[in-house]
Amino acid sequence: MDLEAFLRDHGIIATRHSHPPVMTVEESERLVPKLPGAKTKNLFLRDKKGARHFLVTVPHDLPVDLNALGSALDADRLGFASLERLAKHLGIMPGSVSLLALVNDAAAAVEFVIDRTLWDAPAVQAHPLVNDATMVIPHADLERFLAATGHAPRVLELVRLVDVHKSFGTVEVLCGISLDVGKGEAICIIGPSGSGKSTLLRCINGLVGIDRGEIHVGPHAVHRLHKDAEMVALRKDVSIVFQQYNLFPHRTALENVMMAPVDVLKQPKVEVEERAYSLLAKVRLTGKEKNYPGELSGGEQQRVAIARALAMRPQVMLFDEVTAALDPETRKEVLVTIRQLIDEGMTSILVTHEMAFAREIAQHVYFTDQGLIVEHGPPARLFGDPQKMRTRAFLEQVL
Amino acid sequence: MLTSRAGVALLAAFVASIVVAQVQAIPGQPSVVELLVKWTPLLAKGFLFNLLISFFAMLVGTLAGVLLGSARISPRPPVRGMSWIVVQFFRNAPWLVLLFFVMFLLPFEFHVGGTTIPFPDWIKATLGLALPIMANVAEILRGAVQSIPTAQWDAARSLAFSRRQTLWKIILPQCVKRMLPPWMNWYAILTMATTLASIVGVSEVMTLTLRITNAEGRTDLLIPIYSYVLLWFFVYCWPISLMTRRLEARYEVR
Ligand SMILES: Nc1ncnc2c1ncn2[C@@H]1O[C@H](COP(=O)(O)OP(=O)(O)OP(=O)(O)O)[C@@H](O)[C@H]1O
Ligand SMILES: [Mg+2]
Repeated sequence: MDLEAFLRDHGIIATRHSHPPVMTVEESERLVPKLPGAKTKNLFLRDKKGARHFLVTVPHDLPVDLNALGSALDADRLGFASLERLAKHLGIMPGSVSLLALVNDAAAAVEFVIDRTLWDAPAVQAHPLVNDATMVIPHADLERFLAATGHAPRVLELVRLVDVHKSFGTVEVLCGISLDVGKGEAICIIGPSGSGKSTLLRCINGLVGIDRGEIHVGPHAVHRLHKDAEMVALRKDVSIVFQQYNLFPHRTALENVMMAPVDVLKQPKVEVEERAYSLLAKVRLTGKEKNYPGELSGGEQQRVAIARALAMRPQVMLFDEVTAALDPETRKEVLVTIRQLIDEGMTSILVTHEMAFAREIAQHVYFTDQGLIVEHGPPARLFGDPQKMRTRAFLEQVL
Repeated sequence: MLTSRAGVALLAAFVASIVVAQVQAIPGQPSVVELLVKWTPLLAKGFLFNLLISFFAMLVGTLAGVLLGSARISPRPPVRGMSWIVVQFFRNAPWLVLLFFVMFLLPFEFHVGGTTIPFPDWIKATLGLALPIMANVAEILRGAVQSIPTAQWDAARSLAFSRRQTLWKIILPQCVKRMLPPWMNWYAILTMATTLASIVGVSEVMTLTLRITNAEGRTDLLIPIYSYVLLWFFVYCWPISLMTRRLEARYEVR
């Protein structure tokens, strides 16, 4: 389908710029901070016929089925990394000004289409590249344009792994893992012991560096971060809860929750304390704030660990077999807490042996073995009708 | 290790030496007990000087030791290697050699601008004694840090703590409890070692004792006065040793 025709068919008025402006990285960088509400996300769609590339920039919170959009436009959907590479190649900065931008295949020119609210911004109006002929698609129309693809909306990906490899010495623990997690989604990773599940989570928050492949978490290209200082920004967005809780034994429950926001994020102590109390209340630990970890049961400690992770206000939560060390009674308390978080829309990646729980809460389940994803799919299918022998054998053992 | 049995033995030796001295006493001369009482204020002054040296040496040695110990666990190999050499050198060099080393290496005064700042022997001795303490504190620190599970580092890093923050806010506070007994043990050793300062001419308790015996010229005073001084050291160090063992025991139970 031709984009222009598509726009026309859906009554989206978009006028073409006669001499498409080309904005350099520097220019867009200068312009973007001045734009109110320029919190956007990029997707690059490539026309399969090779006629045209579409650079689509949408607000973070806009629910869009990008796969559906891609197929409606008969285009491949490209991830952030390829988008970034292409944008760099074109000399533009993705995620800058445009709500929708058209890139011609010769990569010679880029036509920006700017949201009307942004259009009105003085900074935009004053920009030398903006003139009468610049094309505008109002935000509302863009939504309509995206909605018109007629598929159920799917959220934008927040975590994206592409062909991740990791070896410890000569042992390859991850042998090419690729997966996507949408914003607000919960996915489960299941698999036998030693299949690299913990390692995978530790790669996502940069505790373990990868040998090959790409890991993207929101705006962070984790595989390119090396120094500890570079990791800090990532770790503000990703929190992990460990099997063994790993609370700081010399600090009370409350202090455990407060430490990172106060010491790392430099948030005001009074405000953090208030938040810590309400987080501990949320994990149903009111009254235990002043207890030391050694004075709490395993389940209570694990809930403190969850509160501590939440105190960073992360975008993504990683759970590594958080109930494995607990007895069935306390296990339930922790699962209830996690379920509540997921219901509230926390993007979560869970490694778990609790198949019933995975089935209930996950949008998508990945079965891993020996460093590979053997099979994945919605829980109903993966548990109900596994395709691979290996998956069936594993499920028979654990169910 | 100082035990109460050693204390009892020491006390017995002291009393026995006095009894022997009293028995052999030549009439007309002041008794050994009288002499001890007479010289007690001066000995006490000397002993306090020893304690002063021990405090400062421990303070300087601990501060330097924490820094050196942090270097021992640095992620950078050159820093680790250099600090390893420093630690090995100062841990294995005889204390007296270090003391002489510092005595002769450092000037007896500094010239800053036009003024002259004296650099007395006792400060030099303090620094000399601080060196082995530094190396041993560094070793204690390294051992303690390595005894903390790596999971604590993982948890801290996941919460975006930097390496330095993790060390100072999370790892070291947990180490203090483990470090306290060996640290106190080294303090007791140091306190006893302050008497080495007499060899390099500092007027601490041993120097004074020697001067007293020379001045009195009484051979029957020798054993009582030295065991008297020994007893003081014991009385001071024994509770520290006791407390160290208590803490160690409590730590083991946990
Ligand atoms: N730091 C490391 N150094 C060397 N080998 C490691 C390291 N971390 C993990 N491994 C190895 O990698 C493999 C995968 O470990 P991982 O902990 O990721 O498995 P897992 O799927 O989480 O297993 P489990 O279900 O038992 O937790 C194991 O063989 C493990 O021994
Ligand atoms: Mg694991």
